[in-house]
Amino acid sequence: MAKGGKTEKETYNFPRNQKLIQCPYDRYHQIRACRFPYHLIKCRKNHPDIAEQLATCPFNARHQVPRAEIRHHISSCDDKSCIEQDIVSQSNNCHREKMNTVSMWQPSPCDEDWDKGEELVMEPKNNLMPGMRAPRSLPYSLSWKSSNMYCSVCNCLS
Amino acid sequence: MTGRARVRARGQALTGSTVILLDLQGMNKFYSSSYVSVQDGLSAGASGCTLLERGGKTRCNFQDLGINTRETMAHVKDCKTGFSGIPVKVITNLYSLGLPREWQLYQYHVTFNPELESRRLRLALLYSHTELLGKAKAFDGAILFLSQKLENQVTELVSVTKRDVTVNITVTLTNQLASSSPVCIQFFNIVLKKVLKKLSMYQVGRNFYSPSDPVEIPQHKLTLWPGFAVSITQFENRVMLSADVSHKVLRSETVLEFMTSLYTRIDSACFIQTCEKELIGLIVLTRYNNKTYRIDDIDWCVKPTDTFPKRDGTEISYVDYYKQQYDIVLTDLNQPMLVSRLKSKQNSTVEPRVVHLIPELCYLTGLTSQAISDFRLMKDLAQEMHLNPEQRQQRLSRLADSIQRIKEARLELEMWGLQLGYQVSLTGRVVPTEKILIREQTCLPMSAGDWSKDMRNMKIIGVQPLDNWLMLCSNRNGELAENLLNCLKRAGGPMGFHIEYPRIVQVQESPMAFLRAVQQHVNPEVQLVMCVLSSNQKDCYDSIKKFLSLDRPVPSQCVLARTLNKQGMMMSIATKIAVQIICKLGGEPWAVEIPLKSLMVIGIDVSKDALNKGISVVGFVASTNSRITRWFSRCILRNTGTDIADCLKVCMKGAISKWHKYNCELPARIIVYRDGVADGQLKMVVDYEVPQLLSVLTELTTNYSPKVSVIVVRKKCIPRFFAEANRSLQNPPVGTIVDTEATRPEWYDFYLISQLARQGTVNPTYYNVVYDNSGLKPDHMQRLTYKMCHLYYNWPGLIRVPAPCQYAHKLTFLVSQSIHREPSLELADKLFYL
Repeated sequence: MAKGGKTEKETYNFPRNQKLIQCPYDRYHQIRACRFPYHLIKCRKNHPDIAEQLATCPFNARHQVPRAEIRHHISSCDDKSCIEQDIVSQSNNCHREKMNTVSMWQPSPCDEDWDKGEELVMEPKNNLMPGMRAPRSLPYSLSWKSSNMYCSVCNCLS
Repeated sequence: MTGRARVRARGQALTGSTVILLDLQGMNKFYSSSYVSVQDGLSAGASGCTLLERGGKTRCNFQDLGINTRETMAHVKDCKTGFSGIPVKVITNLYSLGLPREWQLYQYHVTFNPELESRRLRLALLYSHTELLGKAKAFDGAILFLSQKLENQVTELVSVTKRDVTVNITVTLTNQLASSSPVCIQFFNIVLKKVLKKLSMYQVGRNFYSPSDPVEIPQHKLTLWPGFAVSITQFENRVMLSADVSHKVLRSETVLEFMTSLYTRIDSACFIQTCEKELIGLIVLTRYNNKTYRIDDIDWCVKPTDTFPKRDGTEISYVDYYKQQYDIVLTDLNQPMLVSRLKSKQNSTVEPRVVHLIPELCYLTGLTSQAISDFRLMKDLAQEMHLNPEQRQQRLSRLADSIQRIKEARLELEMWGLQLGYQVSLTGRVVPTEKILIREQTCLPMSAGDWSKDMRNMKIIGVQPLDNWLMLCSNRNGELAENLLNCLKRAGGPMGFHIEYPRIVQVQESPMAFLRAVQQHVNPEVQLVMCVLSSNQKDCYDSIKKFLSLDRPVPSQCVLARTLNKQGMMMSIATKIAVQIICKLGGEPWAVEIPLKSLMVIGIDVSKDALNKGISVVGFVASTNSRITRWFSRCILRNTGTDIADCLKVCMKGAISKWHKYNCELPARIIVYRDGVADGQLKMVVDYEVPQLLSVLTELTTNYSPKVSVIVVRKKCIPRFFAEANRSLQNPPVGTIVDTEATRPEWYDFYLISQLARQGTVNPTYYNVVYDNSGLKPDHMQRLTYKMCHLYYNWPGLIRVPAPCQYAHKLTFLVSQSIHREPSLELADKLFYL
């Protein structure tokens, strides 16, 4: 086999995502970037007093900043770039509006209205395959049947 | 005699014991929360204790234990089941464990006076008291588990070491654990591992395989190891064992063979570079210990004849080591070494261990992307791996049978009062078929879950006419392009989609020519760019997509010339392309009935960028109208290295303001489907992601309090369901819902089968409602989820997950594979990524 390449045995091609980030709750905790959210959740529980003092950055939930400094953080956060497109596109959108016609189609009124709690009453189409039939009696009593629910047969509160 | 006394009596004749290591640090935490009694079932404190196994591998919380979301939702505390639909008997792959109601696991803390350094010595001294402790014991040096309670709370024992030192052992009862407690569940899974080992099954990853019954696929140089994904979980009503068939795909070639064949095929100058590019990141399996490793690097300077220091300090050469340890003789003494970095423990800051592996002994696992695109290979593989319900049931029966038959395996269970019981069946419900709404009609599909035939010659709901568009093709594909155009017009007409003649530009064959033509001819007025590509060149495709998503945002449709060569299928291909184009223009093909007003549905998925390591791509797709036919899509890239999203607040804010813009009010209901959550990540969704989503709502207007639900979607789950029909087992019909027995008591969850499986066994999709302040009935939640599976416009039929999740998946796929940057928001209200 051909030989060559590395002069030092120690320099290996490991992922470079090993930057360590300081925990906002305990400055002695240095966490790998990929584990940071997990650590935040765990450590937060142990330091409720510090958690109270911190606010979460709206652009990146990893950024836990003291409440007094949050405004400054928001104006200078690196991840703010994610809303820059929103601002730009809003100004561009006006000329594109005419191209996006909103269809005038309205669906016919629905049989059911779940906001009011009304359900389907008519016999639903059977999706069972030819060889199958619904059992005439259930193998054992179902716990949900005895609860305070609509009776699906006569649409009354059972 | 009670059952336990019988076991104890039997215990004298048996040998061997289960040894379990426990994380002492975890135990201290556990301790400080005084005596925790668990008569009422789950103990929240117990999640602080993690059970380790010998060898130091931490068992992560793969079952997501200790997350009790159901108790936060008052409307499902007592009942979380629905009621619509026709009942259907369903057989599951879950087995009861015959646990008596009063079964308990007793936990003791053991101290030694004087203290002993050696764990082995502690084990030996304690275990010498066999009559007192009985057969079923598990001890790691500090914590002891017993299946029977000792007479006293505190027991004093005396042992004498070989050196005549008298040691006082104090055994104190600390806990009585019910079978449902998280610690117990983890304990059961460790016992289960022992049972499977007794069946000569090896653990590779999280599943168990039988290397002794391989299935060879010689024509593709693949070997399959049959096996199972098995685990013990606390389900709704009892603790059960779940088992699903799994196969390990191994390539029959070693890394050395791979390297050798690569060397013959390519230029020796770029051999090292190519070799590293191909191999780094792959997982290999070493058959002498059935362990898998990730190749992190290749060390070209080390040979098998070189030496390395053993644990006791002496030097040994790799050749000699493998001969001594595994009786393996290495043939190639000039091969380089593969380098693998072993996973470090969670909070350790110590540099993780690095191992050298011999290429000759490493077998490549998994399939290459080349293999996946090989149609014949995948077909042959599917034949072996995609078992239909009957075949699956046969394999399960064989497993259950061997656990019962093979004495050593059965006794491992019986020792703890467990036994493999019957296979559980339950009653599911098949919900009513959904009507598909099109412009002038409502159609009830003739065949369940597939309305492609019904859609022919039916007018879609609406789309703008396509009058200003561009078509690019290479010089020799001109005729194909013309043919496609004619078919498109013919397909579009009956649909109500008016297609004008495009501007056709013919280009040279080179990939750069396409890009240049696009740059030259596309202006902001163009509605769509269609490219007929002559070959599947990724670079060409990527460059076109990049330009048309970032620099000049215009929807694009790429078609391969070879697709257009299939003469007999032209009309159906044209129909499919026409529907895709409709979506890319922001049109609406069809709808379903939504019995809720003012509802916004969101789908979230996360994937990893294929090019830039560590970059995660978050896809967020939200509906923008109350008919749920138009969508707003957002994609954010961040260098996080994880699948957990940090940017959900921004996405949610954008989605709500978009909804407000189109509907002149804020949505009264918001339902979020979060896909892409792996085992063990549930806590992060609940504690980290949900708060991001909710934090937007409080900041909008003071009176705004919408009803919000967040549901975690899992495409892969261990439970499987079979239906009996014609005295054989088949897949349950589409629309089957299971919300009893196979669900978890601490969650508001259900299974829905929305997949039409023509081959093999259907995969139920698992839904876990982790946040819900809407009070929406479980029945409605289930049926709404089913409705959402009808709205993926790229497929005139049911899909496995709710449409917004599939859209988010498609979006992240395009971005992570081809674009690698956030697409322009000008395309956000079109499904440009289909």
